[in-house]
Amino acid sequence: MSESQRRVRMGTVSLFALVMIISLSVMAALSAATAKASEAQTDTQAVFLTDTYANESAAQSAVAVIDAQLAACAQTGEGAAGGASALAERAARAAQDAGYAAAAEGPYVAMDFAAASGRQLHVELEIRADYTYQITQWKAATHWNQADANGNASGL
Amino acid sequence: MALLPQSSSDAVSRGAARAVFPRRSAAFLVEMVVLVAFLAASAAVLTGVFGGAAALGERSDQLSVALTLASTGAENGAESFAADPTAPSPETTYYEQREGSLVQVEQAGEDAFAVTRTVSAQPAEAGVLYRAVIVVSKHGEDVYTLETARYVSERGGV
Repeated sequence: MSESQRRVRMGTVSLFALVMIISLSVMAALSAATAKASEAQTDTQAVFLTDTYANESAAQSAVAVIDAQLAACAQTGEGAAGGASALAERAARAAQDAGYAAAAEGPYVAMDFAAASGRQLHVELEIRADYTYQITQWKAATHWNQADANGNASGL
Repeated sequence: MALLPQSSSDAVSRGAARAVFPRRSAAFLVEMVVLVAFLAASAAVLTGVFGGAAALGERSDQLSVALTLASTGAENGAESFAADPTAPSPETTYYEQREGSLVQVEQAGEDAFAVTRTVSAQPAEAGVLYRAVIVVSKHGEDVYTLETARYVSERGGV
């Protein structure tokens, strides 16, 4: 009996099945990786949206605090002598007392709201001498930190 | 090349075939059994992987649609609330995906997304702070919940 007759060789059907299984395995891995990436992307989007409106809610609450302070000043006549800048100082202080990051600069009150995901909201109010306010800036932005291969963070 | 007599050659071939055939048949059967077992195991694993990927994909699609509805897509979404929190709005609206776009429907169908907005008013010292909770659900299960707020001054602040 020759060497080739004694050796059990893989049949055509087996070879075809093996190729098919390998192909299906590759497709399954790609499918799972794609689904995982899609899920991660959608989850990130959900977190961003939630944080966007969380910043919005906080900013609206801060505006309520400032409006209440201006209404109180209007009733007592407090800060009238200093004009809009003095009212802005008082409004910013009231917002700070309520726990918001606010700062007065001239007749303007600037406030910043940030979420852990990097979503940020910058709000600027112009305080008028007649104890009212006008929203001059309401800007949402994203601060993105991505660590590179060396572990250095870069802001975009 | 020397030729063997025809009869002698045939006899050798038949003898060799009889000796090899049972071993080849057994090897073939063993190979088939191993192949079928391998195919069955592979099919089970791959079905699980494909099923998991399909479930993940469907969940992602549902969440993506829910995000759109909660923010801008629905009549009672967050942006319409931000535009005018005091405007009358249906508490619950229903949307279905048809040909790649979201269409509002009257009745809650089997594949419809339900968008429910609950608004509460908190009186502040110089106005009213409206808070809204928007819940997007499908098949009775909450897919996404969004909370937002809008302050309306009674003194005419803009």
